[in-house]
Amino acid sequence: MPSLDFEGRRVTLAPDDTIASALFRAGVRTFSRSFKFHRRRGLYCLAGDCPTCMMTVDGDPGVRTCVTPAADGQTVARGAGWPSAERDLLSSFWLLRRLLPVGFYYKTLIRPRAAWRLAEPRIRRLTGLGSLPLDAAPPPREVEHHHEELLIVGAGVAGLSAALAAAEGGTSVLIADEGMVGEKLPPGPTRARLEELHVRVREREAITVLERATAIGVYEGPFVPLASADRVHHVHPERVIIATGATERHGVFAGNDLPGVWLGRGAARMLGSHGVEPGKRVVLAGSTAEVAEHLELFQKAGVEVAACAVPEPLASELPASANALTGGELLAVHGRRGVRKAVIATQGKRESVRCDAVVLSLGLVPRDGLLRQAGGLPVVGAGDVVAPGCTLEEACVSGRAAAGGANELSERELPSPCTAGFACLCEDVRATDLEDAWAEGFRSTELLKRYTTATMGPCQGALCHEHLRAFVHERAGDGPTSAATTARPPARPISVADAAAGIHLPHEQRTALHETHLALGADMGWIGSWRRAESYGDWLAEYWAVRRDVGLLDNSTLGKFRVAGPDATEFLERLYPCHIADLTPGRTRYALLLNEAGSLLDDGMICALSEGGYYLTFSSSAVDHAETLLRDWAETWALDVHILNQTAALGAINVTGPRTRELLAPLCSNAIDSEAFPFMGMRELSVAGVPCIAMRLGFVGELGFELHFPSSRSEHLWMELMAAGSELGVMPVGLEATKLLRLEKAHILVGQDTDFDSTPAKLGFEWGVKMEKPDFVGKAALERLSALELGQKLAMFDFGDAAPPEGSTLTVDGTHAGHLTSSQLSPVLERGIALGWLLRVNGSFPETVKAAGASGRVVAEPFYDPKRERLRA
Amino acid sequence: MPELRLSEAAVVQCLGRPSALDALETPSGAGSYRVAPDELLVVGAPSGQSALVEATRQGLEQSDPDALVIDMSDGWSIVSVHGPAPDYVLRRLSAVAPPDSRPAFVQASIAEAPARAIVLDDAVHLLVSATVAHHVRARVLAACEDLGIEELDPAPLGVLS
Repeated sequence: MPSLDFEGRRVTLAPDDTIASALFRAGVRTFSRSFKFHRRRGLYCLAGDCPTCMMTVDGDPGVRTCVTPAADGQTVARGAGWPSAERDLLSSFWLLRRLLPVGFYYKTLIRPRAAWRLAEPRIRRLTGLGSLPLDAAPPPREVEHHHEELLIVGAGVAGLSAALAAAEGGTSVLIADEGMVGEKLPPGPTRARLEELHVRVREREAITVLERATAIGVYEGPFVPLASADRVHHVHPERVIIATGATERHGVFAGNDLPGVWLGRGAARMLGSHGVEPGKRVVLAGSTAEVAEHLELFQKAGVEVAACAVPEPLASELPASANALTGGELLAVHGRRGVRKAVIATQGKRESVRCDAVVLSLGLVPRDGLLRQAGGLPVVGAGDVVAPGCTLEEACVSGRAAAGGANELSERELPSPCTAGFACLCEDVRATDLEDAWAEGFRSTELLKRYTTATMGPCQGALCHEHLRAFVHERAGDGPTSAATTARPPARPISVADAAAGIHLPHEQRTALHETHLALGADMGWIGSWRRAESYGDWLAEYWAVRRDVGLLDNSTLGKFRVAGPDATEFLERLYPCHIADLTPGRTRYALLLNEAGSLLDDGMICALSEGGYYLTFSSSAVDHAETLLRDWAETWALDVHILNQTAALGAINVTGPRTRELLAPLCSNAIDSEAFPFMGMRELSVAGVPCIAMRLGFVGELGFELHFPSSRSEHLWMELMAAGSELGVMPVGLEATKLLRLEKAHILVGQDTDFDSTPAKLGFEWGVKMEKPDFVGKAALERLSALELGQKLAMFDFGDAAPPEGSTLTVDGTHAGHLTSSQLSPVLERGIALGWLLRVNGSFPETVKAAGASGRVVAEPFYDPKRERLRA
Repeated sequence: MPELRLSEAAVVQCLGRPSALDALETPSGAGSYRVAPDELLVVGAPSGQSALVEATRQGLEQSDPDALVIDMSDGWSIVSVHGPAPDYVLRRLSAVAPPDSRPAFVQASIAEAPARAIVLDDAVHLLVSATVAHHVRARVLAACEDLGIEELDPAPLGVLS
């Protein structure tokens, strides 16, 4: 026999059971504890509209058990209550309710300021609907996209009619329902009609039916995500019909939240569909014809109906056995663990009726949360959503009209304003709370909503929204003050995994040498979206390999672009502040990329190619931005240029260190001595049989060649270089060593040592800007800025034997004087060195500073090889 | 049952005047795909890589001497999924509407990566940057796991036209 585990107890399952029906059959009456006062809550709507049945199922809190199918092996528990939900000592909060007024957080724990910090974690533990499983992330959820022309949410009579009408007109349709079609309906004419429509819909190829798929919200597009058990469906229709039906009107009276108070259709469903009596002795209270239907259902099942509190016209239609209390008005329900008696006012008297269930039939309220989210979108309602309580025929007509694109919203009558009981079951907001908030000056639906949090719980106002409006309407009349509040997604409670479905970030970019690095034991870090080796286990050894012997750096992440076309030179002249036209094949040039404000965006190398056009490099994290920028400027200037991003197609390895030539020369097709291949030169040559663009650069301050080549040859070339250097002490070098090596040379890292307004003058890079050029991006700004005195500059600091942490504040005699951007102890120099932003203090740039307790002096030349002899070796 | 494999292919990227790209005759066995008014991808079997580059270059030489024709085979990876009605690959990995006709060429974000898709009757070839191919491959396998997708060894791309 299939069963589920309910708090350690085995509960057997019947066919078609929901979790709630199985538990109710097993005698469970307290399904949850309320959010704030920890009051007992039992089953109420049985339609997924209210919060009272929410439990933790298989570790997921907030599951609406009344619409969740029961399954063998499920583990179910109530989310709140201490020591247990059944005997919850925290329900004593109800006795302290005068100390927990509406707007509690705005009134208490404000002073001393530490009070809230102390109280908050405790309050969080005491309230809520369960605990999120924090020990493991939920498995990522997949999505499936749908592109039918029409989406219909709700497969009731109106929805199915709309689907058939649209399909007949040649429209592709997706119709979705949060349950199985018809499962919420007890046997009867409505269900029969629905089944007949469902059969016809299934026969239509143009209609796709998705069951157990809950609409989360309606977004611009329109775009409607539907959560189902196995995935989230992302629907991108041209238009949407909301046919989600209606929920029953929530009754607000004293004791209205006691277990045993039911909405009528819920009680009927428990009995009709699941065969479980909602109570042994029932009081019916209502104002609709459904009271008679429920009466018949209960009496047929042998349930004793103690009384029917109904208005005059209905009373006359009920049989004598109904015990009708004509004109009776339900005033209150009493009981401790559940309903024990109902108090009914009739003909000026109050009558107490002993009972264990009270079944309400107070009318219908459109389930229109999705419709109210869809302002300005091609979304219409159909059926009960636009005309609550419509007949089957009216629902069919409404559906067909919606398929044609139109439907009028009917006028809605608000309920009587509440005076006692819980208006909002989700947030434990009572009628008296609304009164208190009104008295405090929160006098509109929107203000009351925010102050009391009514309508902001899991049901998103499905039950309480109209009571909030009725409350305000009685006091303020028609108008914006009592207007409906804004509806927002999610319309139903969803998991975080649902919200994140289909998102599988970050997706990392890998170089062609990724696996090679892993095989070498690399610790892989992030540079933008790239993975790069931080170190291969001993960053200091890697550092010394570069300073003493030779190292290999995988620089494949650098942005690599080809720019060609008739206007390529003109384009680059306008783009860069350096000269371009005089750059001939065989030479490289370091170039700054500025924005219109004259600030540095990126830096890189430019080479003129012998076959024509240019080859540009950018820093690793700037590739996408650089491509956008290049294309944007080319289009703005309407120049005839071709821009090709070759970053993925080309690998890059930097071979650097004093023994680089010893390693490379035997592998190269051409001479690479300083005469044949001078510093800042570029050659197209073959290395170990691999065609390369080779640039002689010196980012880390040693003799170095950067080889760019087809990325499919990366591993071959890397292995050949490693083999050739095995006798020379070659090592793979990661970012950790590289960052220190370049700092010793005072070479900047864009983004680390620069910020949004780092102009060339502030960086000390005036040499890279040719103001005599007719124009370039940022020139106008630099001209204006040149008239101003520099307020700060990037400076080099020597801190002796200390290395203050990066980010440390610089001070001069206690006055703020800037901050450090890069700072490390230099092994080769044996002192602390740093780069940082230095502010002008008392009219001049200081010569000495303090940072994190260490004294430093500003130096004028790069720390390592200031004469650039090693670079030019 | 769908099958995934990484396809080896020659990819030539052409940037030139729209009229010249319009007039370019696709080399036999290859497919050409317009990705922008001034940009064309020519995709063919890996064995003819250099011939494809040369044929494309020659094809554009007369009509647009300034055209840029570059072998970008190393920059692209092709994740191919074979099996009937391969629309599901797009439906599960992209918000783009599957094309109505076949063959079709689609440019979209697929598995959160910028991609081009060649959609045939019995296969979909996803062209993605080689730097994110591992991610797209893993996403296709995960998203189609319930369909029993199997991964096969890499193989040369078949004839596209």
